[in-house]
Amino acid sequence: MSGDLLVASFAGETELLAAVRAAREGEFRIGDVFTPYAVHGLDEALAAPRSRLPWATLAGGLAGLAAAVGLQVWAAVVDWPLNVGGKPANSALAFLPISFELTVLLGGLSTAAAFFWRSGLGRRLDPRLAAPGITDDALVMVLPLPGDPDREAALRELLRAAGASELREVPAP
Amino acid sequence: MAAESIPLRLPWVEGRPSLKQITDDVCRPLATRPSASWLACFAVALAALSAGAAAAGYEVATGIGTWGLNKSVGWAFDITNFVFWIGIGHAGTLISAILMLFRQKWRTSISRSAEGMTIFAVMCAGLFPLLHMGRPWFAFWVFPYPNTRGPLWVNFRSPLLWDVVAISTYFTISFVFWFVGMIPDLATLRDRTAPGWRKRIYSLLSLGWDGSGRTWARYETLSLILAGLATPLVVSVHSIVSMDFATSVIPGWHTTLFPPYFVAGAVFSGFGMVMTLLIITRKVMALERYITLRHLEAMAKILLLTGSLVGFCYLTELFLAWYGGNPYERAAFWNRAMGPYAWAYWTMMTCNLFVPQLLWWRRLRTSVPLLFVVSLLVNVGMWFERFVIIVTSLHRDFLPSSWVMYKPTIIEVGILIGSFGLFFTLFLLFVQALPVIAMWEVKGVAAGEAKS
Amino acid sequence: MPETTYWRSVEELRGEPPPRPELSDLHDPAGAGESRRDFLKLMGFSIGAAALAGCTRIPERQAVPLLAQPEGTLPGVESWYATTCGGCSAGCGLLVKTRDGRPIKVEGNPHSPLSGGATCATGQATVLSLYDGQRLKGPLLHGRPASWEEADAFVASHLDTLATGGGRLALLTETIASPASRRLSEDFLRRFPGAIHAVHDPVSLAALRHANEQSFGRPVVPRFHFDRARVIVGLEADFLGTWLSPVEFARAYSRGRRLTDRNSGMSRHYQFEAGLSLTGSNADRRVAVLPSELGLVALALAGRLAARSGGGEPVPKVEPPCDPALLDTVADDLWQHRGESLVVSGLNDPAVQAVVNRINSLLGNVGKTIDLDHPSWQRQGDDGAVTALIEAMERGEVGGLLLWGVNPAYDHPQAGRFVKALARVPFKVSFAGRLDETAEHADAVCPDHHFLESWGDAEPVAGSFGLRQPVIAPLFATRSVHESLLRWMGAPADPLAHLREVWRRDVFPRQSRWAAFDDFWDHALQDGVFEPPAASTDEATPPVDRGDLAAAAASILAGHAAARAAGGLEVRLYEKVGMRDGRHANNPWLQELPDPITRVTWGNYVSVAPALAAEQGLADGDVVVLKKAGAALELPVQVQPGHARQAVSVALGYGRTRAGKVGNGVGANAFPLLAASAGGFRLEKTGRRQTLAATQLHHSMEGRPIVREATLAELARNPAAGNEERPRLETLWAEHPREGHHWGMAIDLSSCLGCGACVVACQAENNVAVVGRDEVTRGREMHWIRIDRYYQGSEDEPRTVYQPMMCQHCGNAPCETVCPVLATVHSSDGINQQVYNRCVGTRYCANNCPYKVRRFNWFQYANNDRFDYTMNGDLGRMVLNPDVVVRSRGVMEKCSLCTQRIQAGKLRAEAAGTPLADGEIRTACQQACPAEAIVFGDQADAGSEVARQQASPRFYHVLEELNTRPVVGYLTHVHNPPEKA
Repeated sequence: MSGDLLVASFAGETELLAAVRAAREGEFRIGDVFTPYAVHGLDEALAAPRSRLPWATLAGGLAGLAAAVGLQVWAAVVDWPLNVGGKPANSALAFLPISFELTVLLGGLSTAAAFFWRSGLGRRLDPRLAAPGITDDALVMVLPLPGDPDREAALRELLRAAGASELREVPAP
Repeated sequence: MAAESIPLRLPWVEGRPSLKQITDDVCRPLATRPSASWLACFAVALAALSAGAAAAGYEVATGIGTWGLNKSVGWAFDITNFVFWIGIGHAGTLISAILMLFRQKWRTSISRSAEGMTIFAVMCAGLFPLLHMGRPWFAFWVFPYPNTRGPLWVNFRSPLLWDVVAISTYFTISFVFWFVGMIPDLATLRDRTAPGWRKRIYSLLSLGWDGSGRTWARYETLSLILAGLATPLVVSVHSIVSMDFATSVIPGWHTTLFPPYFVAGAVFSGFGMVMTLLIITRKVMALERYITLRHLEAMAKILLLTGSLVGFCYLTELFLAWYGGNPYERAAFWNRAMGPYAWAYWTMMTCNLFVPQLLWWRRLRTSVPLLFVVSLLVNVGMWFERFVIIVTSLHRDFLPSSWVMYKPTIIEVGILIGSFGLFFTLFLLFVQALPVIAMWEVKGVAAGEAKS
Repeated sequence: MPETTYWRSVEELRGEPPPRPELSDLHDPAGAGESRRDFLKLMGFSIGAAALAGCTRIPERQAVPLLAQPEGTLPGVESWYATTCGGCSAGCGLLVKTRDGRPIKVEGNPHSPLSGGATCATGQATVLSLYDGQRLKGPLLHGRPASWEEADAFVASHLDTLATGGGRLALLTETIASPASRRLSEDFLRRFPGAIHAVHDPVSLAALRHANEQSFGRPVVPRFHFDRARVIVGLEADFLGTWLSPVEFARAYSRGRRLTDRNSGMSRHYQFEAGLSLTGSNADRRVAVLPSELGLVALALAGRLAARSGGGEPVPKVEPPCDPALLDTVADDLWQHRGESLVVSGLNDPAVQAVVNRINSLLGNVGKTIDLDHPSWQRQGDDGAVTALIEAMERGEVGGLLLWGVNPAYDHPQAGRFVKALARVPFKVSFAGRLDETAEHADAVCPDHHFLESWGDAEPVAGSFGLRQPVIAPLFATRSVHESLLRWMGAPADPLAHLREVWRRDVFPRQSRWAAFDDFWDHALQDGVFEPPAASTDEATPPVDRGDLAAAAASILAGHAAARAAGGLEVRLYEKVGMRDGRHANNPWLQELPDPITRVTWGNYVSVAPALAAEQGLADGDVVVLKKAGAALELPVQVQPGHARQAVSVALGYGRTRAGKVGNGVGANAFPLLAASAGGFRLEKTGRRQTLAATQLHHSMEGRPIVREATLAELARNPAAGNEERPRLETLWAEHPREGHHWGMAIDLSSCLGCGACVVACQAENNVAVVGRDEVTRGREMHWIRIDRYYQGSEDEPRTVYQPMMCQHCGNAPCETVCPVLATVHSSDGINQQVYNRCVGTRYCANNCPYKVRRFNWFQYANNDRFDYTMNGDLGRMVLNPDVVVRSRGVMEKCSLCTQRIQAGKLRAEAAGTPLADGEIRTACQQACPAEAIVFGDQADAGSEVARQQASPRFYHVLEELNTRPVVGYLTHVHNPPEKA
């Protein structure tokens, strides 16, 4: 059985969203959806799981905080305490700004890093696009062709009904 | 069809362009040769930059003595410019981050350029703490790196050190935000560029973006998180800058009001600069359709709000100087308003407090030439605000025996001009090489409006 | 099986810590533990010493190790020599600090009965003149360098012709207060028939000696005892700044006014003068009167006192130029303090001096506060004799002229005439150390040593001797005048032998303590000063005053009438503190020393009263021409509060043309005006402006409690008078723990006279850069200690207060908190330390300093042709103190409380194994202060003087409400005005 893919193109996000919902109601597996911009409501339509990026942020932030507080207190209190303006060695209040900044810095960087890693960005610089205009004006949905011809016919019918402007079969990558 | 129905609100994108149309409009300037007007601007900017570079070179080679500073006035143009540029930067972050959190659709067409502005402004700002040092070649001493002097660490109590950390953080986060936001558009450019070095660069920068729905989902989360981080960051940065003064003992500096005062001022000046830039850009790059009058009006409203906030701070300062009863504080503010630098003080008052009040009238708010003038005056006024705070507080502080006057030298003026040169050089390169409008975001808005 | 343990040392086996070698073992005899700082310091010493060891005669670039070490010089160890100051003729005793053979600092000799260990700004600066590159490097013959042999041959031939009747030989000298020089010149001239010896003082006081001859039959300058006077009246006499013997007088004056827990009284000082002088600014009551009216004041006083004395010669009645009630008060005050009061006048007018003599006689001050038996040998100049000499020269009678220590071509009122007359003298020899305005006309210039290179002696006051010894081998091929004269006399050319001979004959017999002359000599040389036991204090009947008062009064009234008739403005010519008569014009330290009153550096100016300025539309810096028939002077204007309205003041000593690259063309020469009579001047605007290089631009305290004040009367009622507001200081944190010392300083503002000796002393001790006129106008002077001067009251009758201001070494230092790189931190002994090599120069600390005492190196001040003053050449750099680093461009600097002296003191005590005694460490400013206003010490030691003063109810900190907790503090300024008027 060939694992070919069915690529359905749509004129606008309304059609696309309709098609996505229909396909899921018809219990067809949806490969992925490719759009030139973030289509609102697509996640709900696809029932995509919630992103776990915030955990990366938390971890990075905590690391930054720990590093900042650790370095400042250790350097100013433990390693070489000096009398600066008569202030106590542990001028905790004065250490706040830097602690905050480093928290934000590492939080942000770790989130971005996690994003790149999870989305596999930068792995291959010439991606195989589902359709030529993906980054311009094309909205497409990619589905694996169900083996059974009746189901396949039903799927094509369903997509046309939802307003697919074009249906193509492409070999699996 | 919905298309014919009269929209309830004016569109943020005029003329209902198709998605392809948007792509073409935004990308066209990048493909074509630079326009004559662009080249003219660029020449001016480069000239200013080289003048500044020469001045800075002379200063570093000869000594801070080439400036007009003296035993009592240890800072003047240098830190004034520093605070000024940092302030400029803030609008970019505010537009891209805070307005995003508030789901303000209208930010989409201006966010990219505003963020670019942020980054270039922070670069300019960063120059001055470096240049103002007596021994800039030892600037790396402000970083806490293990060394053979003990190791001797840095003074974590010093607001200047907070500045260093805050500014670097701010720059890094803003840059990440800016770059991430550009990836989809870079992909668009990649796909419409014929094979060649340009395509290779775009491919490299777009990191193989393929518009997958899953990525888009994470991408939105990332943008939200970065926005969520950048928002407190932007507030903290100018608060910390204000602490350079607020934590000192000098009358006129030693004020708890400074952090909010400075943040408001930063946003104010930032929007002034965005306004200036966009009014030019939309003309030069023919983007009136995307950067509409409504955008300008929205920004004008923010100018009115922040300008009034700043003015309120000025008045609060005056009131507290009188009400607080500290003779030194009183003298300092009396000297500001009535002393030898009163002209600077009243320039500041006029540009920042009075001029923005014009924007209460819709007719004035929607007149592009007037907005342009106002935006310029705002920038002038905000530069003078920092000058007034720094110089008039220092030149007459506690002991009258040390009271002096400060007069800038050509070198200082040159360096200020140079910073503008650097800023505009970078900005012009940006509008010529990168999509100045976030296409994917505008497409989203346009599609949304198409639906309604 | 048993586990084998390997061990490398017994300690390790026993689990004891291994022995660690102490740094101190490497260098410290006492073997005490040392801090890193001490170690670096000592390393610095030895390196510096190695580099400089070759520098005893001419500076070497490369480091030359000493093959044979000169006796008595240890590399890096200072040695002190006693000598006598040559800055002026007052001859204060000095101790000279030499390092590796180079004198680097002069300090007062505590044994000196006159100066008592103090110095003035001029004296402090003399050490720099030694390293002046503009000094002559050898003799000149007809303007061209020559060998000494050639010069001697030339001179000898001419002297022979003169000795055999080829015209008269004339010797023109400055005031000679040196017995050896006096005897030598006499012996030398004896060979020549009809020889003339004339003495020339740029600023003459011949009238005083003349008047004393008339009144008391003694043609002398008496010795004045300001410490014994309870009431002092000065008539245009700047005795605290420039007059006769300022250091001696300042010390005595402040002794008579110091308030301690023992002494609660102070003298009262009235000053009548036209321009505001240092002395007038310290007076309890100062009255501005025109120069021509001072005589009237004297007469009015004399009249009132005569009336109170009842009988005596009647004094002609005059209309006093000031409030008669005030004069009554002064007269009462004087009369109540008969015998313990003092009236002095600096006017070179015999009539006025005669009246002053009468006043003092009426008061019975002669023999009490005025000592005619031990006269002062200052200002021995005789204008008549000099004029006579010039006339003789013009007549061509003078066949040869020797010029010794004089520069009449610059500082004679009729310089032009003198130069013309000079042309008629066939043979002219100058001993000037530099090719000055006069020497350039000489046939032969035989340059004298700097006084630090030569043998000599001094008798500033009869019966008080000082010895001068060389502290460095001559830097150039110069030769002492003594040697030259001896050689030309054909005597053995050995100045030392001659000096010893003179002392053996004249001084040795006046003591009985030492039987052998050599013992006496050695001790005298070691002490630097010698005062024979006072021979029977002849406090017998004071001489009767035979002065002709009527004649004096007539001449005064005539003079006043003449001035009235002349109309216009009167001109007061004065000497500036520091610059004096201009002989030190090439000394950058003195050029950059702010004038105590005007705070202006680098040049002179026309001081005018505010009222006059308003009337003529003048402001500071407007260039004007001061004009009258036959005299004109172009200078900027300086508006001087308290100046007499119809007069202007101009400082002498500027406008040199042959002083050297530093002094040439600074200001304008006012000596020619000495010739013109006082009155009849007018000011003409030129329309140009020249900014005055002032270090202080604002003169009011703006009502801030910066200098706290009280009158003596108030203080008697309330010991904390003027110092009531003491804020209660809260703190968030516990004080930092302190080990050992806690250095502190107390400055008595009622003692401080504002003379500026401390400023130059600090500059010399701490290698403070000279920045020049332009940089001063930009507000960038580098002085670590400055003297703030504030006026109070009206513009026409201001009261002046002074406040020495340096780093206050705050316990909670605002500067420390803000430095990003920890370049300024606090030491455990209470000092705010500046770490130059860590500083990156953000200037944040200076901005955040409430006292604005931090100084930034705007440029590279050393080795930079833009700043060609002291540190731009090997010669000039020889004066640098090796214990203090020369700061580089871009770093901040400030007062360190002479941390190098503190370290040295601690090391000394450690080496000696004794605890540090109070007063053993003295900062440079404290050491120099003639008024003993500054006290430094350990405030942790309750018994120390500084702790005592800080406990005084008069003690306060400036801006203490900021809670900066300085260790430097001040005692309130107390003045003693009369109750009435």
